[in-house]
Amino acid sequence: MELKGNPQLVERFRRGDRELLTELYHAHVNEIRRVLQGGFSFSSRGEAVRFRGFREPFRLQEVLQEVFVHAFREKARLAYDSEQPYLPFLVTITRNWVIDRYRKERTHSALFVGMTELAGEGETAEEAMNRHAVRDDTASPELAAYRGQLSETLQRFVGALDAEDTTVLQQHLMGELTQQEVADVLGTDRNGVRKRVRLMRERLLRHLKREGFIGSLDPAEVFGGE
Amino acid sequence: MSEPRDILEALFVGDDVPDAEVLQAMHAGQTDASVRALFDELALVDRELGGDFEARAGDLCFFTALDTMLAEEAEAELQDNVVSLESRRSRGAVWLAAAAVVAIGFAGVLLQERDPVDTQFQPRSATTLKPHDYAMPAVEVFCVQRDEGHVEFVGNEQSELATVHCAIDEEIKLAVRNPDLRLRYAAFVGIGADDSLYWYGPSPAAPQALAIPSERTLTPIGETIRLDVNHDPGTVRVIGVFAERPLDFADVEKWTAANTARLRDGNLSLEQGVVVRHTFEVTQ
Repeated sequence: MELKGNPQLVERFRRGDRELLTELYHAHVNEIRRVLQGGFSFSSRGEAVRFRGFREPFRLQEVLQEVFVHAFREKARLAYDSEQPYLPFLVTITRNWVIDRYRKERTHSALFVGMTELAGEGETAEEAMNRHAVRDDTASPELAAYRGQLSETLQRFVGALDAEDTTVLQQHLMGELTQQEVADVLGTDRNGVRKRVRLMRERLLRHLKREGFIGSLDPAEVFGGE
Repeated sequence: MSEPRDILEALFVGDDVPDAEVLQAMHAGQTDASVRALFDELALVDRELGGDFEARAGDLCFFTALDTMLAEEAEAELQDNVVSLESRRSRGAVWLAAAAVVAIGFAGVLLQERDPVDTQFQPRSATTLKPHDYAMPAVEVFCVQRDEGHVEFVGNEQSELATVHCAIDEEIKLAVRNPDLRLRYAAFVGIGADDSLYWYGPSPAAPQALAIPSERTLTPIGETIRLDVNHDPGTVRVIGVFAERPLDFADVEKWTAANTARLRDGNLSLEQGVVVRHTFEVTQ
């Protein structure tokens, strides 16, 4: 969805039309989630800073909600230049929202790190900033370790599945096929696949509990204590 | 209503979880670290499976917050209009004076119920949701009339009188209409003609908070209440307190004590909640 060059959409946007705001949210929520999750670099009062991104899923969804509400307020709606595409404007609002919080809450040091700390040997802060300008989705060592354990746990679960469940898991849940396409492969209907997915997730939940994977997370340890 | 952890697990599994329950769990996560941790754990697993666990919960919270924000803007616009009419009256447009009175009166009606007087029930955490914009809930009383194994519920619609009349040897049943997803708990207190207080729930015998469903139609709640245990004939005002956070008996008792003078005149309001009233008659 693009507002630029569409006066009717722009008028609805400025008026705060809920239906249009809903469409805009759905069109851009994944991109904004990536910005907030993956982090970015910026300069603040001459200091090069890396925002590491919100890693905790619960906190991430809270911030997503706050950013979109902020972006959809009347003041922001009226500030939008309809000659420009909307997504860059929204990304700018998102970045400014984060930077504003950095300036207000420098105590949230786990989220931000000075570039001098990230610079490699013989590398300046500016060079480190350029290196990090490419989106950095790499996880912290703790989160990477956690994901590694999760992967092993999932592999054990997959190993115990029958052939049909394995097909559903690998080709639909973790693959590219739709429910209908998997249903065609298995010679069943979409409802049958849906029921199978539900049962599988129920069994997976029990499996994760049995293996101590659910109920063992220490967010401060894994996510670095936001 | 289910516990937040059960709700999150059901959402992860893919059960058809009502929006109100998802919101309940996400609200709990704002203050309960174990709920947040469970959400984080399930979200990480769900990411590996390409599910929509996070999106479902996040979208729901966002749209609730969006509705609140748009309602705030609409309210601010209404107030701006009232000021505008008043200023035009001062320039001598007599016919506008009447319009201003109507507009101010209308705004007054809206704002009267929103004026935060009581601060006993504060939210446990910061939230983007504001107390001003609740869809209004309601409480009604039904007489339970038993006749040779046949039970009939008589409420306002079934009653031939303007107010429901229940004989003292009958029971009553409370029912609520609660269209606002955020109002997940309620408390009900009766005030007799002689200012006697009746704890309909939570009560000293069942002091735990009373969770209520989110329904646009009248829905019965709690146990039936025998009137001959402690009621006297006369008018009983039922005060329904609908809130975002759990209200146990200690909360309700404290709030009632702090608002004794206002319980009868009905001038009650609440931060993060709504107070409504209903009246019925107990007859000999």
